[in-house]
Amino acid sequence: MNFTTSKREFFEALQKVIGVVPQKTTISILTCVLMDLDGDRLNMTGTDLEISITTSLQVSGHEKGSAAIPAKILLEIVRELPDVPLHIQDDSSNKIIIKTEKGEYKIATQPKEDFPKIAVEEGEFSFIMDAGLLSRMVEKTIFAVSIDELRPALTGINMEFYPNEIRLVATDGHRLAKVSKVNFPVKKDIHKNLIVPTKTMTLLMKNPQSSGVKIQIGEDHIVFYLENSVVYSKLINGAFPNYDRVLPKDNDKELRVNRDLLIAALRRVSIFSSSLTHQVRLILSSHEMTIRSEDIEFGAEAKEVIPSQFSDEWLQIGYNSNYLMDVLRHVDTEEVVFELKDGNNSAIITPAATEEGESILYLLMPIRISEETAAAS
Amino acid sequence: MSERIILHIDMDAFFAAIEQNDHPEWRGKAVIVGADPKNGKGRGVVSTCSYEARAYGVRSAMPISKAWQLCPQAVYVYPRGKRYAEVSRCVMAILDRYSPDLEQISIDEAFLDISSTHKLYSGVENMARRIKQEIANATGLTSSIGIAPNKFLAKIASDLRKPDGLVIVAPDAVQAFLQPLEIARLWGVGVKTLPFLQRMGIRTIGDLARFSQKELADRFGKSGVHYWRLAHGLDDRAVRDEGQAKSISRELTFDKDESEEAALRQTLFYLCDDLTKEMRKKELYGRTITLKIRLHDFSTFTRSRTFKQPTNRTTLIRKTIEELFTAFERRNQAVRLLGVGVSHLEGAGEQLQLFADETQSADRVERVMDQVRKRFGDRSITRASLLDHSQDSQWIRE
Repeated sequence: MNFTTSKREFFEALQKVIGVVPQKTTISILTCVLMDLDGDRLNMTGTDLEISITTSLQVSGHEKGSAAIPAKILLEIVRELPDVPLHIQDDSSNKIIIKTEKGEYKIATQPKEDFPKIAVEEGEFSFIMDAGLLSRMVEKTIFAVSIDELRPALTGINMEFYPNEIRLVATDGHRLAKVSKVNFPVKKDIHKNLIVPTKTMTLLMKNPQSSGVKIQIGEDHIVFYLENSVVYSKLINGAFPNYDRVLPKDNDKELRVNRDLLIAALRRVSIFSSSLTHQVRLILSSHEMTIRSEDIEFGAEAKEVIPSQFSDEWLQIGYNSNYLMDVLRHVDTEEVVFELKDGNNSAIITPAATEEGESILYLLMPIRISEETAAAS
Repeated sequence: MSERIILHIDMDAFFAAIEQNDHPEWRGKAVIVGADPKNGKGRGVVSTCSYEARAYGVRSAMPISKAWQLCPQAVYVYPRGKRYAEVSRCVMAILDRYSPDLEQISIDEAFLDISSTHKLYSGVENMARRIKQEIANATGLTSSIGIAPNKFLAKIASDLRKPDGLVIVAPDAVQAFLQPLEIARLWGVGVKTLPFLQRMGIRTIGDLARFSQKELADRFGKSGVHYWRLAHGLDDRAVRDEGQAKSISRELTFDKDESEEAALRQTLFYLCDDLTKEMRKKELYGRTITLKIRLHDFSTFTRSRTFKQPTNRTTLIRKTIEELFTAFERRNQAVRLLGVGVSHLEGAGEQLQLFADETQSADRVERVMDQVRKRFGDRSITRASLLDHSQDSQWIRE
């Protein structure tokens, strides 16, 4: 293998694959990226056995070949090099040599035969999705995923496919995010859901695209064909909870409030909340809401009043302020709408308006408020 | 998830060890934490004693007067609950870093499900040693750890090499591990069942395992099925994060056995008041209200009632306790101890769950079981009988 490339292009490509290379692993070959040169095309692959990403770039190739190079040291040296041409070649002693005008850096490679082969099987079906729409839908849901490895089904984003609709849902059991797009042709008669690992989605978000993304779905995997990269990911086994069942049907009270005002007030008031629960209380009356918090341990408390419209006379409800702010940050409209029942049931939170064919919905469970605190205010 | 790996950790002579740690001059001496011995006339019990005191035959829950007879030269210390809770929090905070699935079962004992997290520490043994070391560094105390495929085995394992023990039971070693153990180690086998089993020629768990499930079920009913499962190392209880205390209680041992009805009722009122005050302070609500009565002959009875809605109202709890007391057939026997307790606790400030009903019913059974086991000892109750917790009153004899 022998090729010449620019530092900048090589580094950019390397950064795309490095995200998947595991930091700690007992399988040492996984700490490498596989470089494969064919003509002027260099393919770089990283994998953690669950997810693989292959990115390709144009170089000036002199001699085809391939090598498995330890990713960390390669990234570190390339990062430190100025933007100069790099000559990269392997030698007979299983080393890779990076040459610049002034320097020469040798890295011992690992046997390339050991690098896992990613067998991309035939997919069941595939479709093209606008890159902007995909990243928008992921961005609106990914914050709600669970990090609890003991409930694996919640550690990914649930993708649902219908003939004319695509839907993404994420939940950690306390909050839920659901985004769907109708008038989106997927495939005739399709009715399927699959759970994509959060890491896969994070990788996608780090590879912004300008055009369409081809998505191929298989029995146990999903493949995203990006402009210069292919992301292959195993799916998470397990049943995603039946969230339709917990979508409240009898939330008869409505709250409308300015999103930025509420976020700003929450940011201040939540400083005074318990560092354990992050609990804030919203006390709603017809034309304004009071946001209160208190940290009994440190004798701190705060309150703020902001204008809002509430369809009922009075209601008090407690939330984890971080969860509430997470949701509000993902609402695009100036006004945000809460549909409520009481202080012990989930709120439906939506933007005041959505784009044609799009629906965005968040569910948030409250924190139980003690009777005494409730009576005191 | 296929193979589970459960870790049980038990702090060695916890209260006594803390006292010895805080008072270096007591190290190496018999230290007994418990009620005031009043020169042998005290009426409370031993809470914990140091290993030095155990050498004299002193045990937890032994009347303090008996401890005095066995070891009058010991250092007697009144428990410092706040200090122990503080050390306990420190220990639990360390454990919490090793797995999100932590179930604290008492102030000095916890289960950890390390099925997935042990890989992060290159194996269970390394992980266990790290935990012990970290706890020792932070608190100066030793602990004993048992690791096994389920809770029952892990708890037995942690007890085998105390103090400072570490026992790992691999899945393929379960039978070899269980068979030679004395039958009394089987959870649910107590003073009542033990003689029966012995008459059947059963001395070890291995002896019991040779009986078929049907034979045991015929003889012991549902408990028989339970014994059979345990004797084969089967226990599928999950490790659950309770997040907070499971019960809160107040009890009082009379200086002299009391048989006066009015005085007993007054004591109950006082206990209810004190208990509900504490609950309100901690913003706790409970659904199950329990009355505990120990008669002059140490026979101990409990009566409880469970409500659908949690409460911490003094009036309701008092009224319930009074009714339970009225219904109890004391037959004028003198009372040694009275206690009131509230369990099935829920806290204000609790983050509510979206998919609560999927886990709640299992959770509830778990909570009842742990609560009862903790209060009345391992032998008092079996899983099957607990499924019938719909009845609003039940009693268990200690």
